[in-house]
Amino acid sequence: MNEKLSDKEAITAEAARASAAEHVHFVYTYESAGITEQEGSVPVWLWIVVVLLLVWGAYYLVTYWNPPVIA
Amino acid sequence: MPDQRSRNMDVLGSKADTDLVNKDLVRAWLWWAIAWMTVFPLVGLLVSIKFHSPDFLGETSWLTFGRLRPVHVNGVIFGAFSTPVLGLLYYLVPRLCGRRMYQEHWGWWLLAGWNLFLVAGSLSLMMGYNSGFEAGEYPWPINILRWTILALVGVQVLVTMFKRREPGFYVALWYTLAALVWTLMNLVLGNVVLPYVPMSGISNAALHGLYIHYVVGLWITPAGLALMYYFLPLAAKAPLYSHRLSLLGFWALAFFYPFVGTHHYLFSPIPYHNQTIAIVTSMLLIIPVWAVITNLFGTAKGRWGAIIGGEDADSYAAKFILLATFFYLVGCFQGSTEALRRVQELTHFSDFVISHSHFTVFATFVLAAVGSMYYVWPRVTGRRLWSAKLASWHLWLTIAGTTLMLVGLAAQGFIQGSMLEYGANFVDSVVEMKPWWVTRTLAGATMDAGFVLMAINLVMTARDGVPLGAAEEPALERVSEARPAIVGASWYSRPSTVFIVAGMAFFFLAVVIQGILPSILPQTYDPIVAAASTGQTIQVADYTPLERKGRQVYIREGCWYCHSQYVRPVTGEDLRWGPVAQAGEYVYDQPHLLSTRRIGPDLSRVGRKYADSWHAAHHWDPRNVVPDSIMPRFPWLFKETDGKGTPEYNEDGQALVAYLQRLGTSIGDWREAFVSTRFTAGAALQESGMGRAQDLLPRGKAVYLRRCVGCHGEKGDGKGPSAPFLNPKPRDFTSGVFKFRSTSGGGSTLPLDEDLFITVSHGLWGTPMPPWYEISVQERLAVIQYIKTFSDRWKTDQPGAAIQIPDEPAVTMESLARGKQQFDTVCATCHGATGQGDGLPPGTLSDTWGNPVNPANLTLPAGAPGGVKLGHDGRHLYRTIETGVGGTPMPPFAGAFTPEQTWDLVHYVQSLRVDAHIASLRQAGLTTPAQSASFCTSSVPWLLAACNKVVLPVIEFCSAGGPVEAKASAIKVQLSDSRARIWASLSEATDHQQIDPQVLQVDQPKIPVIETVTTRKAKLP
Repeated sequence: MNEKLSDKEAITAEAARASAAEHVHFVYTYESAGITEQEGSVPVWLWIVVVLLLVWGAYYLVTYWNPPVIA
Repeated sequence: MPDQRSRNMDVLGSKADTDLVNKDLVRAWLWWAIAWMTVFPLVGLLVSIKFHSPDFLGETSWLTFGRLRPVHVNGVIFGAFSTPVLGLLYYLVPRLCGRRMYQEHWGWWLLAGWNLFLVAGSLSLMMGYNSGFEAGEYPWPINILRWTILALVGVQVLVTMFKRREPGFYVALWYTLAALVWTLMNLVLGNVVLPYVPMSGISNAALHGLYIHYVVGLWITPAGLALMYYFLPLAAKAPLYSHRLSLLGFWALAFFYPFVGTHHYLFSPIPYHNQTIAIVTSMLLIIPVWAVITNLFGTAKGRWGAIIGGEDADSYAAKFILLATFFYLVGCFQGSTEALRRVQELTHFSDFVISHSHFTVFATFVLAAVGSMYYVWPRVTGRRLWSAKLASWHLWLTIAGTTLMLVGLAAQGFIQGSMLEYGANFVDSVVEMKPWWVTRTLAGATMDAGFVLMAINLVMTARDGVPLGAAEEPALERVSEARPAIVGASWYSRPSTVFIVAGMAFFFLAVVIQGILPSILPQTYDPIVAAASTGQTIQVADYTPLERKGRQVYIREGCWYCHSQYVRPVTGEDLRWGPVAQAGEYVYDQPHLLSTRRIGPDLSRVGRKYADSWHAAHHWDPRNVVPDSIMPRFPWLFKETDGKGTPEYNEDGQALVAYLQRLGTSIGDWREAFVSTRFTAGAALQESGMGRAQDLLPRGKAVYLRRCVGCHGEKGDGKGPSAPFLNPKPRDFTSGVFKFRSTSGGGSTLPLDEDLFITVSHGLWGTPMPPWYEISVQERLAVIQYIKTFSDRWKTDQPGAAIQIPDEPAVTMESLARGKQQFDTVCATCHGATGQGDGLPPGTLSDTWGNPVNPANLTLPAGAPGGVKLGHDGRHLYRTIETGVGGTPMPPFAGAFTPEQTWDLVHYVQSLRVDAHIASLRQAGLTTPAQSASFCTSSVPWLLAACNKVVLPVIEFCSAGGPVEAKASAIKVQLSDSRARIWASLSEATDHQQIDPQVLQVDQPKIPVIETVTTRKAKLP
């Protein structure tokens, strides 16, 4: 969409971003263990790796399902 | 029911978290962990020394490579790794669950039982009680003990988790729970299903591939990751980087890992599509591995300076875990790419695989356990780490030793793989490895020295470490931040989801697709193969009781740790060892012995390659036969001799050699037409320029001393160290008499280099003289020049002129009839009326050297003792008839027959073998292929229709990627008839289409009787 965001929408988007950032940095504590854990996120580069590997996997599975024909 | 807040108060109030853990129990487990972490890697060091010093600890059956190797591998997995893991579960599970471990006191009994399992299991393996499944070798009583202990630990952990007071369910617990569920099921697969549920060898291999990798991927990996996820945030004093990465890593591992195990047997007869699934999922494992790496390194972000500069136990804990994380990245990338077919062609069976296993098991997860122990030990002993300096030495010795070993082993894999791919002699590739193996021993010693330092440090910590002050201990245990009040685990991170979906559903899905579906394909369980010589299907016979006993000896002595049993259709293995493996050959193989390693050559085609007496000499002392061999001696396979006479096999030895001679013979007589021995450069050898033969002598001597001296002796007198065992005796080169020559002039004429080249390349069937086509042409030519230095005849005499072999005439019934008539007249006296070498009583004849000899049985298959030595090839038979067999009663018949008559005789002799071959194939069930029965059979119409419409398409889809040879054989059956194919393998006339169709009748052709005697009697020898 190329239309400019209305003020209200902009505020909502900003709030969403802030919420997301807050969510990423949300920390949970396992008290009896003494461990803290961030909600965190999965880096974009890792998502790209995931997608590429899945695409390659599908290709390989289809291409090499059968053995090559031996003359 | 108390609300959450009150439960939290319970945890944080009167029951301080330090009270959640029974420190005495954890400490006891870790004491034993220290012991096993020192002992079992040291066993590996002993094993490593044997590679370059094979006589080291070699005189005791308990201490051979085949016995100690499984002690090391299982000891590292279940002793050095699993003992600290189980001990640390008593630390981390209560703390993560906010309550003490369920039935905590069981832990003491379980510790005693676990140590009993490790001691009894190791001793059992050393005594030779070996189940024959890699990573599943322990005998059944030991397996029951192990399973029971793990099941009880599982009950403790699961009940504690399901009754936990901490609402969150941390990632370390996901892995812990899944690891226990997976492993308890996997041990049933490996210790019950694999050995006791009847199945074919290929089904066995398909399931065993899964089992092996489940030990690594569904026990070591998740249990190790549980430690890393738990202790790294604590040791680094930083929050875990990303819960979402934890989710991605765990669920991707849980889904992909159960499928990958088949990659252990790529290029085997396991259905092709199952191999492809394993390759794809192996590569997809990059996803969970990189998710974990990102998460753990992200956790240390901003803390590197403190960790690296830290001198306390926590810093060393973090250092070791981060080092393990790095090795996890490298080792798993290595493992994923190793599954790719082209990479595996080159690297499989080599030390590259050992590099990978050490990367993942030792360098990753044992080190993760080490780091975890550095963290916990001060807390359960109440004392500060005794020496930061020793810990530092431990760390750097580990880095140095591990890196040297892993990089070296990987390099070795590429070097050996490349050598073999380019046709190097197998033993040469082993020799090339020896300096690398010395390096590995040094690297292993470095790593073990680090462990000893750790043991000293932890012992001294417990004994003399500075006690933690009253104020310090709580500080170490302090909770860093209060948790929000109402946060529960999402559905995909709940214990029940992890238990049911990850732990069970994915596991069973993979076992069904990768293990059970391949087993219902007829190719994997039908005892039929395509005969190598004809392409037609024949039955595979079950093992005889003696062969079966030999198989047990083979398993007991651990032969399968060094020798694989399948020839792959890649890297020229079919030219090196023989025809590619077929699924039907393995129908009676439970346990299967495909193996994952080749420290010695593949043995699936070894049957009839060597004489029994060669095996006896080789088992008595391999280096007597092959000076470069690193195989252990097996004197306990021989009768007691009190030092008198030549040792003879005892019952175990006889059984073992019976089993070895059976290997590779189920596909019929393939050796007769084996291209590597039939198609040598002998016929094209250039004699011109041989005046420079002297230049080859140094090389020839080197070849002789490495390949020939064991039998023929340093002086060439046939009295090498293994000669007393051998029958017939090795050739005495000093006499200058040779059996097989193409030269005219009588039985004692010297042979041409070409003749010697053929003998060396082809070997002499049924005798201890093996084929040497695996060494280079130059080496063969050089050693021939050196052999000629042993007798002065080579200086005084000249080889006669080579006899001329005219073009082979057509093979006709008339030709056979004439040949039979001549055979009956001239040859039957010695070779018997039916050509079975029984014309004279045994012991009647002897050779020039005084050894008893018998006339050849002309009907026997290649390699059978008593048969022809160089095959039934037409040119060879023609030559032998004309020139005789030197030094034996077989005289030269040159001049006694016309060329046409000699060819007639050759054709008749060949027909004896063809008929015998056909008879043996018929005995093996050679038939016109019938339509196989439909998979769906039912008298209920709707059931039959449902099967045909639903089940059959699935079976056909799966069969599409079935074993290659099944389709190849079907094509061959349509194209050929077995008798024609056998003739084609022996006779050039067949190549020229000069063979009478009557000769190729499926039923044995009846050769007409003729009366005319045409032999020149006056010229008969």
